[in-house]
Amino acid sequence: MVKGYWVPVLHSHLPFVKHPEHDYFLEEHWLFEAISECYIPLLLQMKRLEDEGVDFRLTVSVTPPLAEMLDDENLRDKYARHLDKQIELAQKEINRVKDDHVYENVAGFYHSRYHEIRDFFHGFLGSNVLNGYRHFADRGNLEIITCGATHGFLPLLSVSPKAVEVQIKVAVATHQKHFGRAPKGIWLPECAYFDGLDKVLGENGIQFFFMDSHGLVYAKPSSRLGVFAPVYTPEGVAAFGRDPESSKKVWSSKEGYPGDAVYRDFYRDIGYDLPTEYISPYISPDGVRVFTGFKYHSVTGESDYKEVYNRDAAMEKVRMHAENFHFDREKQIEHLAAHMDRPPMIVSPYDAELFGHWWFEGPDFLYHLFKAMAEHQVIQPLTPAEYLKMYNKNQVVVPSPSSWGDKGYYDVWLNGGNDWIYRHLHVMAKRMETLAKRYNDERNHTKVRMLNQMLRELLLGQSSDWAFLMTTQTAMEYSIRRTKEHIANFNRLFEMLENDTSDMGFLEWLEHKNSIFPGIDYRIYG
Amino acid sequence: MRDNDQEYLSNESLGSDSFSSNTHNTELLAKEGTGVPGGLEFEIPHRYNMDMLVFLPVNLETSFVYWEVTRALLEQYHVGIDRLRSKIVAVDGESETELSEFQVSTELGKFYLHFKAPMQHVLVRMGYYDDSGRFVVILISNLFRLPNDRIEFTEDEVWMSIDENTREIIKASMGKEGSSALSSRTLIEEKITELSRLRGYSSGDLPKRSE
Repeated sequence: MVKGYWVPVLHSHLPFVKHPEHDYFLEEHWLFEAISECYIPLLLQMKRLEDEGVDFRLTVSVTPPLAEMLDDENLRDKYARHLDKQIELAQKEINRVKDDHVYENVAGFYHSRYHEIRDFFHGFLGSNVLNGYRHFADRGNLEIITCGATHGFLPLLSVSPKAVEVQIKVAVATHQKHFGRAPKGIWLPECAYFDGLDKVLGENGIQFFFMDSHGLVYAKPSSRLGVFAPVYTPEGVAAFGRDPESSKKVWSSKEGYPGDAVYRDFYRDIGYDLPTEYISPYISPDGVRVFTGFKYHSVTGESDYKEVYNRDAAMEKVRMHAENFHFDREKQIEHLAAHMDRPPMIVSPYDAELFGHWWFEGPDFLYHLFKAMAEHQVIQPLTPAEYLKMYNKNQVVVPSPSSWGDKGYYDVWLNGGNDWIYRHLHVMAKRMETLAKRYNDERNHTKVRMLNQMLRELLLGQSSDWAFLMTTQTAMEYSIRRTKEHIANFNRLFEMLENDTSDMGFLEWLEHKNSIFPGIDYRIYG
Repeated sequence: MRDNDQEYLSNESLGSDSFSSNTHNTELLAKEGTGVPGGLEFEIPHRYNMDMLVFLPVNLETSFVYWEVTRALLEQYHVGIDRLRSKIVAVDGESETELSEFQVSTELGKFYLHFKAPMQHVLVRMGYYDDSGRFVVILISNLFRLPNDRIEFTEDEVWMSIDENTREIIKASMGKEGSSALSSRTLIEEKITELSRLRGYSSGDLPKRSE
C-alpha cells in the first residue's frame, strides 16, 4: 500500500561556455566531464530501468544554456573527439598497469565504461544527449522542466521587471524548441524567489516551481503542512519545498552517502598523478592539469592514504544505501503521516551533476532506489504535475523571499566581492528595453543583428554562475572576465547603434562565439 | 489537524540545522583551474552619467543600496553632494515608516545597511533637507519586499483548487480585525481578486466571507 510520495528532482546546469577559437578550452572540458560522468550515466541507468520494465518518475531541469550547449554542433563534434581520446587513454592505461592485478581491474572497468558511453552516445542518443531526455519524457518517466534563460539570479535582476520577464520567456521558448512542448515547471535559478515572481511565472504558463524549505515555513501565513505538501501562491502557481532530511543524505560529503569509504574518490585522478610526458595529450595543451576521469582510488578516509577502488564493493554498498534511503523515507513518511490529513510528499532536489561527477556511484543509487520503490510499493515516485493532479486543493500563501544558497537568502550572489556587477546589468537591461521599443519596426538587417546580439550579451552577463564563482573564489579570474566581456560587448554594440556605425567583423565574431539562442528576437524586451 | 501538528511539520521542514546546498558542481569543475587566455582586457564603464538609486536585500538583516547622481540633477536642485542623505522607508499602503538613514557624500557609491523589516515593502528615498527642514526627494529607488523569519499560522487560511479550466477559492473565513494574520490574508485575497480579473473571472466568483 502506498503510504506517501517521493518527488526526486535533478537540476542540470552548466554556464554557457563555447570557445570555437580554440581546439581545446578548459571550461569546455567542464561540459565534456559532465556528459561522460553525469548525463550519459544517468540516461544509461534510465535505459536499464526501461529494459527491465521498472516504472520510475524523475523531474529533471535542463537549463537553457545546457540545452543549447548539448545541441550545439561545434561542441558535439568536440565531445565526440574527446570521447575518442578517452578511449585511447583507456587503452594506454590497460597497457600501463597490465602487470598490476589490483589496478588492472580498475583500468579494465574504465576501458569498458568509455566504450559503453561512446556506443550509447552515437547509438541510442544519436550523438545528441538531448535525444535521451526526449525519449524518457515521451515515455512519461521524465518531467523535464526549464530554468531561467541563462540562470540569472532573478531577485537581483528584478529592478528591471522586464529582465525577469525575458529570462522566463526565453527559457520557455528555448524549452519548447528543444523538447517540443512547453514546460509545466521551472527550477528557479538557485531556488531564488522574490515576491511577485509568481505572477511572471503564471503569465508564462508555469504551473510549479521549487523553493528551499524556509521559503514556505516563513511564508505568510506559514505553510500548514510544511514542505510535505505544495502550496499555491496567490497567482495559483504551486510551490514545492525541499525536504532537508533526504537532501542532506546526498548533499553532505561527510554525513551523506557519497563520503562512504568504498566509493570512488573524486580528487585522486591520473590527470594530476601521472608524469607530464605520459598524460600531456589528455590534459590542457598548455600543461594545466585537469581531471581525466581515470581515478583509481576510493574515499578510504580523511588522510592522504587511499585504497584502490573496488568496483564490486562500491556496487554492493550503493545497493545497500538505496535500501537504506528507502527505509528512512518510509519511516519518515510514517512519522509525518500521523500529523497530516493526506499522505506526505517528500521533495528531494539535487544538482544533477552531483550524481556521477561528484558521487560517481550516484546514478547506480538512483537505479537501485527506483527498483526498491517498484518492489516495495510503499513509496510512489511522482512528478509535481502528477501530484497536483491528485491533490489539486492546496493552501494559498505568500512565500518568503529566499534561495537555497549558503545562509538561505541572497548573500552568495550579492556581497562586497561581486556587487559591482549589478549596476552594469541593470543599466544594460534598461537600455535594452529602451532600444527594443525604439527599434521595434527596424528593417535594417545589420541593426537587427546588433540588437539581437546585445540581448545575447545581456542574458549571458546575467548568469548567476559568475557572481557565485566570484564569491567562492574559484575560477574568479574567468568569471570576472566573462562578466566584463559581456558588459563590454554590449556597450560596444550600443555605441555602434547610437553612432550609426558598424563593425561587421566584430559582430560576426560575437555571433559565432556567443551564439546562445540563435533565433532570439530583441523585440521580446519591448 | 492540531496546532502541535503544524509546529511539528514546520520543525521537520526546517531540519535540525541550517544545511544548504553550498556545494555546487560548477565550483567543483572550476576548481580544476581555468584556461583564461591572455590578450584583450575588457573595459567597462566607470559610470554611466545616469541618475539611479537601487535597493536590494541581501538577507534578513542586511540590505544593499547603490546609486549614481549626475551633476545635472544636483544643479537642477541647486544642492551639493555633501547635503544628500538617503532614507530607508517601509511602505504599507498609505503609511510609511522610516527604518534607517545615511549620508550619501559621493556621486557614485554603494552602502550596506543593517536593519530588519520582515515581509515589509521597503524602498530608498534620496534627497536633502531644505532650509525649512523639509526633506526634498530627488531620487526614489525600486520597491522590494524583504524576507521573513517568523512562523505564523492563521485560522483564516485560504485554499485554492485548480484544475485545467477552473480555479476555486475553497476557504476564506473572516479573521479578527487587526490581527497579524489579517494583512497576509487580505493580501492573498487582493491578489486573487486581481488575478481573477486579469484572467476573466469576476470578483463575484469569489466565495463570500463567512461572518
